[in-house]
Amino acid sequence: MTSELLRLDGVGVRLGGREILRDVSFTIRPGEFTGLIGPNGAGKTTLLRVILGLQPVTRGSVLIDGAPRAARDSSIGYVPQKLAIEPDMPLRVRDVVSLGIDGHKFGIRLPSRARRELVADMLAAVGAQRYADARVGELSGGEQQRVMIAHALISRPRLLLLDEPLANLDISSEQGIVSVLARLARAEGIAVLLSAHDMNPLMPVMDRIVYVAAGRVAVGRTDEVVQPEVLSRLYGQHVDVIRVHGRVLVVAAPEGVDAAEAAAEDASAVR
Amino acid sequence: MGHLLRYVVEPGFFGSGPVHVALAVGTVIAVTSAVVGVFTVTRGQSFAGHSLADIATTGGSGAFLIGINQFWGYLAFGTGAAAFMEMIGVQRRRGRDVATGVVLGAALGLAALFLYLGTQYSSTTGASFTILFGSMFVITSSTVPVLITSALLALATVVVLARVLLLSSLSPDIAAARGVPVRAVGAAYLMALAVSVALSA
Repeated sequence: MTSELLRLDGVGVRLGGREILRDVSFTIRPGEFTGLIGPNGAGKTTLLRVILGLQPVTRGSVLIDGAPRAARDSSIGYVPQKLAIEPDMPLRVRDVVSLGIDGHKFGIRLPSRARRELVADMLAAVGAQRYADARVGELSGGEQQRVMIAHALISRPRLLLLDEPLANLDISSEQGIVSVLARLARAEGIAVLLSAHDMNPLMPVMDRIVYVAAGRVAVGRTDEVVQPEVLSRLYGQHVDVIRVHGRVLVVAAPEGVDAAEAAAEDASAVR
Repeated sequence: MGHLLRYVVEPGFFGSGPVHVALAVGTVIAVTSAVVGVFTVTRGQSFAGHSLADIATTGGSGAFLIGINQFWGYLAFGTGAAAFMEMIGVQRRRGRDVATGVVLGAALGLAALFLYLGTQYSSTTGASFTILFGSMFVITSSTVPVLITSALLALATVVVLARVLLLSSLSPDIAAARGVPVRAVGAAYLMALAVSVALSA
């Protein structure tokens, strides 16, 4: 099918004899907002690195538009979890966003009005114009996330990958980032794949969920995947899914509860 | 202005040949170092930059030992060490500092050996001083074109790599995902740094 932007087929990754990912398959269509949800250490970052071509797979394939990924693929934008910069790095927000256009190219470029305007528009789109001339290293985590989203989006990718963009953010920055992403995804038809250990801030905007636990994934609509039976199977131990006021908590059952038995019990209790 | 300068420099100072050479070379080196230096800071490689100067000394003393122009020694050892550091150094900053330290230690040992051997075989007592500290006023005019060419090469390398270097300092992962050969670029930059350091040495 050509309407698939990204397709992972039976992807497996081994690192130093340890199996990080096993039999991961899912697809992403244009404009879809997908949450890559799972506990810390489940393999979310590795999965994103596989899609970016930074992590070779031991098994399976990754197809973008039905073809293996090209070395210089501008159709994927990436926002890493942490920047490798010190607070005193002499790089302004404006310059960082501008690097998103052609930071991978050699040679110099001359400043141009069109370029300045493009950068300014992008900064406005993510709500970062207030600190456009500040040094990136001096910004808070949420502000840096906005800048890096602008950096990733300015080259007009069709798929945007974000690694834990909501980690360590306060609640209002968290909501700000989510709404910026949702708005841009809708307006520009950009597919978003965002990793997070907490799915709740994403509930209103997520079309689909890729739930990672113990190196395996469960994929589908949020209400299909976030079920005690599905997640218990994934974790290999019994977990409960508790819903409170539209929010979801996934919690491990106390020691000694048999997984299969509890899952069966839950399945009847829910109905 | 002229009257004031008289108190600072002897009359006829600017008419002397060695001064012209020193001024020309000094200016080129200053410009190159300024441009290269910006990226040294953004990439957190100040330690590497400092070490390359010391390592270049090893080359200088080696060149003195075998009787060739010291600049070639500076250049060969500086760029060689730069390539070696990038090769053994992992991408993380801490790893890079360890790599720098290892190469620096080995080079300083060799420098001491070369200087010892050099002074054994020749009676030039000023050699150690010239190699270790150098002087802008003893540059022979035949070396000048070489110095300036090297400086321009280093400058050109950095100008060509400028954007790529910035992007990989921001996030090596983003750079790699966009098809930038991050390690090769790092090695090329470190060599440009080595050249500019060798020039000032």
